[in-house]
Amino acid sequence: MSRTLWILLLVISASVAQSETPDPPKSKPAPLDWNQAALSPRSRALEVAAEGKSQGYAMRDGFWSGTLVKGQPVVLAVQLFAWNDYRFTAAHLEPGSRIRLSIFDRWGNASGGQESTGETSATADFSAVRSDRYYIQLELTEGDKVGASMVYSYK
Amino acid sequence: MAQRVTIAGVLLVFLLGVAAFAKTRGLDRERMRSAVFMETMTLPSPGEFFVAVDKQFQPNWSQLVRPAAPVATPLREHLALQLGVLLADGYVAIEAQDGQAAKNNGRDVLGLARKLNVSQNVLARGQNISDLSDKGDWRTLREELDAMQNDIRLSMQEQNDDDLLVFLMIGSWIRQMEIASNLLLKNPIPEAKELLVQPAILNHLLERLSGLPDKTLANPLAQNYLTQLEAIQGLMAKGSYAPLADQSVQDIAATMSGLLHATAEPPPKP
Repeated sequence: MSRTLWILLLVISASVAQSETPDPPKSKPAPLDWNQAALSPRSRALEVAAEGKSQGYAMRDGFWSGTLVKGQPVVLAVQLFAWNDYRFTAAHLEPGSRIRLSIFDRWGNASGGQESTGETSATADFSAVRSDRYYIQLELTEGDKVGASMVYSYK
Repeated sequence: MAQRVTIAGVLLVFLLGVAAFAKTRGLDRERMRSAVFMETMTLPSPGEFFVAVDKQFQPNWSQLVRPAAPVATPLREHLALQLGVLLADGYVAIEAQDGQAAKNNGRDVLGLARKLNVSQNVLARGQNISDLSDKGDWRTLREELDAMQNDIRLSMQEQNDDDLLVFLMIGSWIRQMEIASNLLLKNPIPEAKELLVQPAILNHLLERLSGLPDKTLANPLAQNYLTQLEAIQGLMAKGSYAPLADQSVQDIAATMSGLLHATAEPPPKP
């Protein structure tokens, strides 16, 4: 009887203790505040893309994140508008690997865009001449496999 | 000997050409067909659409700001439609650089989000929007509104309200298209007609709409949207870059204005 009582008391005290534990404060980070997040391919991509802010680029909140494997490029569909300038930024965290960003029009033709490739990031600037569907291809040019992320900005 | 050198030279040039072609070759159909379609990236934000509209028409955005008047409705899908329209209207306020309208819009968005029980992730955004509106930091405000829209989307996904998400996207899209098509009617710039040609987006919205549960689809509101949007599918399905016919612009404008009007009216009784 006393054993049952003890167990009951333990259960009650445990649940009281749990209910008294305050929830951690829920603060909402500022939009695209990459300082708030642990270092990740996305935070690195946002860090690189943030450099475009001084040039008037506004960043989209949406992003792609995934694994890039050598020989298996990832293609993303986007709708771009003529007269807008776009900046696509992809990043990863593996210094020995390199990625490339390429832009294609809706017929699959390479659409150029200025490109720069850094140690752990790649950026492509593109001024759309037509409002249309475009494709962004991300590929691993050096290395076997990396976790990567891509964001884009516009102005 | 000279002949061999010439042949070797030609061969070398040919191989270099092939290599250069391979490096810059296009995407094949299969790659394009299997391209990732992410709603948070593939669907353009109203912000980037309006930036393009602004460059082409330089409209008087202040005249496009409208006082929000969400209508009472028992239908959650109808609320989601109105929320989508309101989110697009937030960007109109930004383009107009109207801080008070942007603040009012943020308040109205929160009000509708509460009714849909998706406000928990966006409450903190309301204060940010108010502060940024006061500062006149329009670019960051665009980013904040984009983030707010994604937070609402996330909340809907978390509570398995996928049907609401579909109506949210449609509401935002029809407001964008309504603005652009009516600007085109007033100022028919041939190159700007491209802004209205978004077949992949329309197809995606229709696919999502027609994939909703039968119960949701049976509602006259959903039926109206499905029928009207399907009717303009043919206008956008162009195989070339030829500009839209004037009649097509008129039809798109009429459809978008009609749908927007239906969104602002009490729903028809089932």
